[in-house]
Amino acid sequence: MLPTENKQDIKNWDIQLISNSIEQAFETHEKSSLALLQKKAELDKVSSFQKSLNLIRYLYVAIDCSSYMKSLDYKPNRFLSTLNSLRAFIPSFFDKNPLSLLALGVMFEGFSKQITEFSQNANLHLEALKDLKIYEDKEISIQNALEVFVF
Amino acid sequence: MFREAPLYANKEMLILVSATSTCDPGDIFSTISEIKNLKITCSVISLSGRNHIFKVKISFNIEI
Repeated sequence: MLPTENKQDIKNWDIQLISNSIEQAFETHEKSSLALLQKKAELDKVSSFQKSLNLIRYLYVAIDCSSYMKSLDYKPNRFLSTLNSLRAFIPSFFDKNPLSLLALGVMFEGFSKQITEFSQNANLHLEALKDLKIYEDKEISIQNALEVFVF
Repeated sequence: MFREAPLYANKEMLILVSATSTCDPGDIFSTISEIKNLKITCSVISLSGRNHIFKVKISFNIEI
C-alpha cells in the first residue's frame, strides 16, 4: 500500500498529465478545425457555377460559320483552330461527365440549324464536324441560335 | 428541344462566335429573359472581341 501523500501526488501528476494532454488535444483540434475552415473557404472560392452543376448535363454548342472565321489571327485559321479544340473537347467532356448529353449546331447567313441531336456518341459529333464549311456571308444572328436551343 | 429535357438536368449552351455583330429578327432581350426563366446557363467564347450582349449573358451565369 502506498502512503496517502504519495497517492495525492500521483493523482496530481495524473491530473497534470491529463490536463496537458487535453490542452494538446484542444490545440490540435483548433489547428485541424482551422485547416478545415481554410479548406472550406478554398472550396467556396472555387466557383458557385461549378457547385451548381448537376450530374446530368445537357450541353448545346453553337458554332459560328460566318466569313469572319477566315481571318488568320489564330493559326492556321480561326475556323480550323475552333474545330481542333472541339475535337479535343468532345471526348474529354464525355469522359468527365458520363451521363451528360451534347448536341451541335451552326450559325450561318442569319439562320441557325441543329446538326446533331442530343446523344452520348462522341463519334457522331466528330463526324458531323467534318462536314462543316465556312459560308461567305458576314451575318449571324444569336437570337435565332437561342430560339433553336429553347424551342 | 430543351422543353423535352427533364427538370433535374442542367441545361447549358456554349456559343462560339467570331463575328462582331448580330442581325436579329426581333428583340433579343425578350428571348434572354425567357432563357433566364427556364434557368438555362449561356456562356460565350468570342474570338474577336467583347460585345454588350455577351456581357449581359455572362451576368446570368453569376446569378444562377
